[in-house]
Amino acid sequence: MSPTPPVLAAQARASAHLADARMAIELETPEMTLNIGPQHPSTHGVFRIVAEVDGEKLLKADPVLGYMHRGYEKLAEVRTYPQITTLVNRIDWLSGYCNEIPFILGVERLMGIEAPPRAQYIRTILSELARISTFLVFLGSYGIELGALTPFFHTMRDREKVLDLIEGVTGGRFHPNFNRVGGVKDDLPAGFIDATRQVMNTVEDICKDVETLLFGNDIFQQRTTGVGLIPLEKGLAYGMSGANIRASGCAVDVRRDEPYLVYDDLEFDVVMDDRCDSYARAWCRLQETLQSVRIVRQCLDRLPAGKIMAKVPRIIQVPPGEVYTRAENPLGELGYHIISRGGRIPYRVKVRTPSFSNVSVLPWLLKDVWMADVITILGSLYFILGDVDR
Amino acid sequence: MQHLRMLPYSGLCFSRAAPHRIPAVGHASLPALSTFQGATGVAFVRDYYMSYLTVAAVGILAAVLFGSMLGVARLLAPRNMSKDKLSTYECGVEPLGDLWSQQQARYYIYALLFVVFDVEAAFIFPWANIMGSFQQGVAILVEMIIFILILAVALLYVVRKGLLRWS
Amino acid sequence: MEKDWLDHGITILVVILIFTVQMLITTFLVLFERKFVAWMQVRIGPNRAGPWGLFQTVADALKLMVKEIFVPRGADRTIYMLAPFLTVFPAFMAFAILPIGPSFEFVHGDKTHVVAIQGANLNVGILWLLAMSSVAVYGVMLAGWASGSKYSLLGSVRASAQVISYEAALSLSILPVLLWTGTLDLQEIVAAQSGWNWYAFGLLLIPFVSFFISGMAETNRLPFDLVEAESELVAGFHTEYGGARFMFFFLAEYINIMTISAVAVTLFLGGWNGPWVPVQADPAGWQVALGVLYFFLKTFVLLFLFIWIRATLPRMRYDQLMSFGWKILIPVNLVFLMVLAGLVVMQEVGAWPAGFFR
Repeated sequence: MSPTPPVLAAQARASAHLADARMAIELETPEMTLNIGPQHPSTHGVFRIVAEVDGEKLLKADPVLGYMHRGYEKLAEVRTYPQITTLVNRIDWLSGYCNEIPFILGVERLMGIEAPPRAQYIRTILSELARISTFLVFLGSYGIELGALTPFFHTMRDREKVLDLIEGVTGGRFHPNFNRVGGVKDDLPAGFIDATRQVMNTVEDICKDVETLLFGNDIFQQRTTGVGLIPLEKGLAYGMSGANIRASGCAVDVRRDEPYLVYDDLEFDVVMDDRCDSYARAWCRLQETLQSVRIVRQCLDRLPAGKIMAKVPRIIQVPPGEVYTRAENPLGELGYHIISRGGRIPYRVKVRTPSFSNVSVLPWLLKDVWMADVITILGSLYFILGDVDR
Repeated sequence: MQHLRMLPYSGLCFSRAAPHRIPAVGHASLPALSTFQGATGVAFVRDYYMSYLTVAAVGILAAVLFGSMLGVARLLAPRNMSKDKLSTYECGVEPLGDLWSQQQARYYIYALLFVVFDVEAAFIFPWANIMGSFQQGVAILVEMIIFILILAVALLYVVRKGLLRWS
Repeated sequence: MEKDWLDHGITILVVILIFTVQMLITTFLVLFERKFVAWMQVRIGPNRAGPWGLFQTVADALKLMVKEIFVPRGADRTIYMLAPFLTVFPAFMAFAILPIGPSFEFVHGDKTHVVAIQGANLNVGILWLLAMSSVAVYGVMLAGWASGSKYSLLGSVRASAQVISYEAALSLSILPVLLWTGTLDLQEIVAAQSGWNWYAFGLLLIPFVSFFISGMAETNRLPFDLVEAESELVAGFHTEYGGARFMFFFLAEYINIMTISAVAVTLFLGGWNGPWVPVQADPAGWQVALGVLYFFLKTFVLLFLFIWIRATLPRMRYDQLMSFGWKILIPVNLVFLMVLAGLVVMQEVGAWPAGFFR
């Protein structure tokens, strides 16, 4: 028996390798390219992700924005300042009232007007009510995204009561358009304070219910803890704000850092968490709802008497200038860069919306995650499509 | 003392229940079985097939229901096809790439595991059936425990190998 | 005695009766679920079709039947059309062998006839149930595959993996009952549980819970409804189905949860057993009716549990589901089986008092 010549052995090895390689090519499973959105039950509107899916895992995600683009920045260039408050109402449609605040504050700063204290307090109360109503939607719909249907109906029931309050003051539930340059349109209706106190108790109760029944649920915790980790430096690099960055361990809150309205008179905690995951983000929003309740109660206690409008000219003419105002919206930091060249119409309004920056982290975040976790992560970032696309 | 109930198909299902596991009340003449008692050989076979025929009748009823409902739907439903209507759903945009894409072999592992455990169950079923009434109870218990342990080791192997995790 | 035309006639009558009752209960189960879920979710629920929305399901069925029938482009036509049937068929077949009430006798002419309130008393009993629940996988799998849509496909491969995984746990949790009774015959299993010896109230509580959990996974109910996880896969395997064909998937789901509840009642909760229902032959007419009532009452309680859990829990993730099935349910069942077998042997040799746990 002669030994195999080395050349032949090498050839045999090589051909075996080749055969293996061929097998590998034949057996390779190509990734499936899948559209998640624009018409998908849990993307909250027309948000689209082009995803590469490998069975249960999502390998790569490519968000496609702009289905909801309505050109508000351009529209603002052909409208008078009071008309623009109507427009900006619709940017983040769940908390329409909060969108008006930084814009009106910017115009007032350009004109050198300050609203009277009572108007400031009314604005604060309404902002916080809008914040509560938005967060109640979040607390309910986050359950739905994870498959728990029931909390949604309970939070929506109590949100109705908050919206009723807003409607009672402004006449509108979603898009109040209640701010005027130099104050607010109307005073509070009779009985508002008592009604609000009652509703605040209800909100506190529902928050406790959600905390025990949803956040305390084992499956909920397993689904959310450690899912969608955003380290602080990544979050900051992507310009995230609001509860999303506070859940990554950075206690920024425009209400405290750069107080507007009457927030520097009020006592509230900036809720912070350093777990960086979806659970932390949801938990922060839950606690912030309770903080908002606290703020509203303080405002009701301290509500001063007096006028609700400063003295303003009949036709709003803004002197030339440039201003950037920002505010802590429910979704994060909302900023308006208003450039005026004099007259009734702004030269340019740049809107810095929180959701756009928050969503921008998605391509980095959605890598090699479970299909089910995609929805968990999307929900926990809590963006509104109108706020992403403007 | 062992109570031996002769069943027409006792050769098939080993129904030799020990007294302590069938309550004293009425076990001597179970109603459903009294039908068969005292029947002759031909009748056993006939009854045996009859019971399956009955189940088949249910199947036929289901098929009739299915067919008739679809038939009614076919009569009532409008027909107005268009190209877009017939395209498959992919969140409102044109489907990307190949629709019949391949799926991961990782799902297949569960199929293999299932076969293992279902075949195991198929072995355990007859064993469990005669367990109580068999004379050498301890012996077959030990044998079955060895069998189950081997499978448990297999499951442990699969778990340790990380096959139940996706990656 | 030979069976004559009357016996066959009775059998056919019983089959038709069971089938009708099954359809009726399913119809009202849908409404019942919607009403209950609505109640838990501070809503009113269906209230338009008939008093208290009683005919809501009928209205839904009619609506679905007048919807356009179409086969999407890229679907495998034959399988696409066959799949709903493959889902409904085993759902009906499984229910047909469950003993719903005690058997009774009546005399006609010179012969005594026995009426069993059961579609068919198959000698393989439990195995038939397992076989049917295995067959049900095909409907779901083929529906998703034949649709030619990615969401359907993802849903159906998930479904197959999930259902077969819990199928193994399901059969392992049935085994203790078998071991304890020593028969596959469902009538005998029910008879063995007479006089409050319901298995779920004793040592067999563990397999009962395991059976219930795997049953929920088998029927794709929350928290195991990954197959049609609405927030991820839109509608899962039946994304591409509409109209009458969708109706059959819907129907099958509800028949399946009813079957699982009924099987759980039969195996663990004493079937039609209850106070004043004797196990021996020839009960009075009212006792038979009472037995049937008990059976459906117990089934109803389990169905309520199904609905309650659905309204309470969030959905699990695929990997969590799988590791729960393979790493917890199946090992627990295997260990329990061995412990129980040990107890049975100890009773045989007299080392353990007979009937200790009963």
